[in-house]
Amino acid sequence: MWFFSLYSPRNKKGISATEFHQLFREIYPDLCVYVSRYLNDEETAKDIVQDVLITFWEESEKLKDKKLIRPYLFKSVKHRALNHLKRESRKLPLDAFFDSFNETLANNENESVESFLALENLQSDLEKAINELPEQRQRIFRMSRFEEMKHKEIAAALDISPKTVETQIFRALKFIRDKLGGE
Amino acid sequence: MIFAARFPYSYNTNKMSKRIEQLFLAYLEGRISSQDEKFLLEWLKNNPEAVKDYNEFRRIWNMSKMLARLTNEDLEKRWQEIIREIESSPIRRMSPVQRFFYWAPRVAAVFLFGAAFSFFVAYLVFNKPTQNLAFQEINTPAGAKSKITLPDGTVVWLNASSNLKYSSDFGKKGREVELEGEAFFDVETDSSKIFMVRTSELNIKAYGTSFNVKSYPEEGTIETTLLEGKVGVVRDGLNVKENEVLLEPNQRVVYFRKNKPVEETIDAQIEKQATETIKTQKTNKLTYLISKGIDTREFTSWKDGTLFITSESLSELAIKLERKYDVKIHFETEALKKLKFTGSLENETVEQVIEAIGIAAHIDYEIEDRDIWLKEKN
Repeated sequence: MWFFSLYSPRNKKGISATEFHQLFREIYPDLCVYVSRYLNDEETAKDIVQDVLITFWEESEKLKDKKLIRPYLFKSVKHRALNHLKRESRKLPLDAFFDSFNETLANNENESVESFLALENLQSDLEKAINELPEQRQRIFRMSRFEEMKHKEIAAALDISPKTVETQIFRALKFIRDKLGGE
Repeated sequence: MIFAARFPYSYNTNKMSKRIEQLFLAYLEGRISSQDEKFLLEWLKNNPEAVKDYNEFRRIWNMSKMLARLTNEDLEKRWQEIIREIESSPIRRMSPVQRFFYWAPRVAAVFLFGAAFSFFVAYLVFNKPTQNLAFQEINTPAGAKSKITLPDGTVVWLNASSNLKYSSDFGKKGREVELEGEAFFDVETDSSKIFMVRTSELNIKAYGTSFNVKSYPEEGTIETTLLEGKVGVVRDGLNVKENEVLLEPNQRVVYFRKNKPVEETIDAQIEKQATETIKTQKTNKLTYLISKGIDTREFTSWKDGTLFITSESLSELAIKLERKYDVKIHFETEALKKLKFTGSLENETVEQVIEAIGIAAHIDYEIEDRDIWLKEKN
């Protein structure tokens, strides 16, 4: 059976299967959150991340430096996401507007290893930022994003005015933006 | 007011900025009217300095939703999907060169297996043809004879107590029959396929002809008589070119079986008729006697129910009668066997024949069912 395993794509990997599993557990959430910068459809975002990880595993024998795995993966999902946006035809005018803006932004982005390394804790950074929100604001934001309630439903649930909810959501968004961008 | 200071751009009015935020939230929540969307889009295009902020809000909005969707169940489900995909199609994204080296040994193995299998099947089919062939076999009991037409049109008269065998693929490659006993062949002409009669020791090759072969195992000779055409006779296992005895019409060859002493089988009459003798070089044993210009009726008339007897001993005649009438003839004394007869028998009953012999040779006889005793006359 030697000639079957000799050319098997699972042979001579740059990383072991155990290492790959560990890597998946660590980086999958970060990559998903990162792709969501560009895509508002979570399933598509997750599919892209999954595909990139499979491709990476199948070609991991080409891997020279293990330190470059994570930057490489972030860069891969970013480009896959941008390609997906280009191919997507049916979308709202505002979505199209933001997509093309993001594309321009991404093309001018610094793609150095360091800039991608900064994304490594994206998921926990985002989580931390949300946890740092003041109690009422955090509550409203979580109801909006985690429970996907419309701001009028939140207002009704908390017995406050929709305007207050609106204000709190925007204050939360600004807070998080400052937290993520400011480091 | 710290928060206001963070906006480098200026909204026209605070009221306007509230209105835009309201519309933007409606957009994010997916409940904006197309009219409002157009308005918001126009506003964003006219306020490019605000776009980066709103884009950032949109990003955080989507990222937060993703965060909510990242459960342990999802993590496990995705990992299982990755494993399944890796194991089911490992070559999906190989380079062409990798793919070649991945597939080449597999394809080669399949071809090798296929070739080996084909050879195996071919071996079974072609190497042992006789095992897969059925034989046609015709037996005639004593006292009977039969006329057979072979697949190629050759007509065979099979004498009593004889056996003719040919394979089911007769006529496909060659034309071969095996004979034990006596048969007369009227061979259909086919120069591309030689007709061959195999007997226990002798092979007779015919080239479009009619001839008679007599090869009863209890007799010491194998006799071939040619009426028309050409036949070649050769001992089984010997080189045809060097050892073949060719016959012309109206010739007869008597072959002496290897293990029977010639002296016992040789008949004075045959010897007298013989015009040529062939001896085995090594042992100087008489192998063939060839008689030329004979009356072939004597040897072939049996097929028409007629027996021609030309100066035959009673022992020889007895054998013929035994076959023709399915009887057993017993001799009281050896002297009786040496009596000579000439004549022809056609539709007589065995009783009539025996009576005629008794009168001609002055001998007594007794018939008891199928047994006939010939006795010296007192």
